[in-house]
Amino acid sequence: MKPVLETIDLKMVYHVGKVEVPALRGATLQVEPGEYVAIMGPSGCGKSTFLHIVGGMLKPTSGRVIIEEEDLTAMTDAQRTDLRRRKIGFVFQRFNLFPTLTAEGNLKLAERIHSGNSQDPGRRREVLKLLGLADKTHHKPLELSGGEQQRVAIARAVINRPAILLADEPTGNLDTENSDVVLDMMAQLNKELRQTIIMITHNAEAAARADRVIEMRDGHVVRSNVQVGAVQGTHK
Amino acid sequence: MDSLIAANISQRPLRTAISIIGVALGVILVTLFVGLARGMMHDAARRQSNVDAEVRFLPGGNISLAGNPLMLQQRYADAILKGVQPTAHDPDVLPKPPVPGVIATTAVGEYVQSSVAGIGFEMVDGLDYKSFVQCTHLNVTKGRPLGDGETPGSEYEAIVDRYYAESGKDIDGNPIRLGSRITVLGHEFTIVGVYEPSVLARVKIPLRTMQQLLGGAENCTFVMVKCERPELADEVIEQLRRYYPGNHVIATTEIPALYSQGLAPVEIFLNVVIGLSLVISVLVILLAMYTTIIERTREIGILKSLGASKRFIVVTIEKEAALISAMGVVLGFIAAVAGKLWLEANTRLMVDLEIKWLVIAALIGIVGGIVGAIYPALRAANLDPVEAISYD
Repeated sequence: MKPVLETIDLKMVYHVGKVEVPALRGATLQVEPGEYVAIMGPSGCGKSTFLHIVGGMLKPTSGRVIIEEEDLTAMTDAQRTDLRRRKIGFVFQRFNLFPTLTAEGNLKLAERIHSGNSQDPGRRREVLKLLGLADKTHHKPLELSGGEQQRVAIARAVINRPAILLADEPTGNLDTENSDVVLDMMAQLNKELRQTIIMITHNAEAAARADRVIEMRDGHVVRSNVQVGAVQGTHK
Repeated sequence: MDSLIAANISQRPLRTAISIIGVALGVILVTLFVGLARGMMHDAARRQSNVDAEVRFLPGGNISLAGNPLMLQQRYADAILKGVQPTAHDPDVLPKPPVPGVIATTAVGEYVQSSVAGIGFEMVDGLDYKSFVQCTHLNVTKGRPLGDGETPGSEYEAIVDRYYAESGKDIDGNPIRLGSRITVLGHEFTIVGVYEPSVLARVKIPLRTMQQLLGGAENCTFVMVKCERPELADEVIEQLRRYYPGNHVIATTEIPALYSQGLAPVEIFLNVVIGLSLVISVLVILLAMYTTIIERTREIGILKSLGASKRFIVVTIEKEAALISAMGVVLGFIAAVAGKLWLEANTRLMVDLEIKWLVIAALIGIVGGIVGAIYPALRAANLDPVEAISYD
């Protein structure tokens, strides 16, 4: 089976004035379709940069990113945007919902960006039901709890059937109870819809839900299949 | 309309309202200024040409249909109708026969004064009532005809048209009626009659009185000439030019065109108004959308994370600007119509809201808004997605 994601010797150097700050120093990784992968590592190790590059939001200094046989690093900015639209779903720590739109409005907007006016109400209902949001469709974000907001964000990320769901600290702003709910939902998505998930987390319990845990340090993938307990003490 | 755009607009009601008012201001400027200029000109031209006399005889020099009072000798009226013969008083005058085809003439004085209502200006006619009615179809419908200004007690009489009678106020601020006093040429005049239809100025006083008040004894502004038959007008004009060279002779039918020519300098002013309106619309929307973009940087980052293309972001922002502009145009039209009604009810200014200019005003508002949103839209589209989504 071909990997859904492959990164090869990925390097990223930020320029802060005249100073070069390396964020990735050659990260190489493969993720199979339907895999649930957690990336752990200390702050500043390059996790978020890695996620942004894989999501096409950043262009790496060198190396390659291949998503379903499409080389992201050979693409123009517009092509990367198009690939992100077609194949990537993002979930952020701060939910990043549109505060003026209802839960359904947020989903519809994602659908419209993806498919124009040809939307799929059936898929929308299915996802909202799966994430336990069937009775919250007309609520605006501020009328929802943090856990519910994050579930709406997850629903928005998967509504267009992305090849990869990229989650950046999805439980970072949630209490334990809501974190559990969100992690359950993500696990359910992975199992029931075979959704590939790559999740950055500092939370060992969250990482424990994944099929595989990857450890990053100093811009490198140092271990790509590690026991959760082995990295638990290395991050904040 | 996209719910995102509607939500964005309703999220900041005050800023949206200010933007709408800004666009509306440009629309009001165009519609009211143009409407006022054209309305006044059209109204004056219509009343000036609403006479039976086919020919107008004016003093030489630049043709001015207003503001050139009492520069023509009144005796031209008699000379054109009856001819000229040397007299003991004026033995050297060259004899001239009556102009063939002319059956009536009347000398008219015209003077422009500040409007009694305090806004704009208004014309006043000085006329000899008996000869005037032979050259027009003026009919006194209330009260009595105007006196000659020589008979004691008739000096400070005035007649007004029905529009003036219905919309005007006397010097005490009361509605006009017979016996009301109004101020003309700085003096109080008593209204003795109301006439129809509207012909030349709305207020008419005896020519004799106007001559005395303006110090233009025996002079008038122009002479109206009535022909035996309308088809003789060209022939009469030719004869008048031959008999009395150095003066202007024009057909009454040319007057609207002359007024249109008189509008040419005003067009420059109107073009400046249009330009200003466009600038206002552009700047208002540019500022509003620019601050919107700054405020929504994070939301633009979210759009980018969802895969929204630059085009999608530009179109979304432009749609929002166009919607705000369209609302501004509608508000501008409502305000312009309200302004027209108020002006026409409280002053004697006329406002013509022509479809052509309403369309131009709408285009200025909407195109100005769309142009104004281009820079903010492009700026938003080119934001770095990672920086935008991390923006606080």
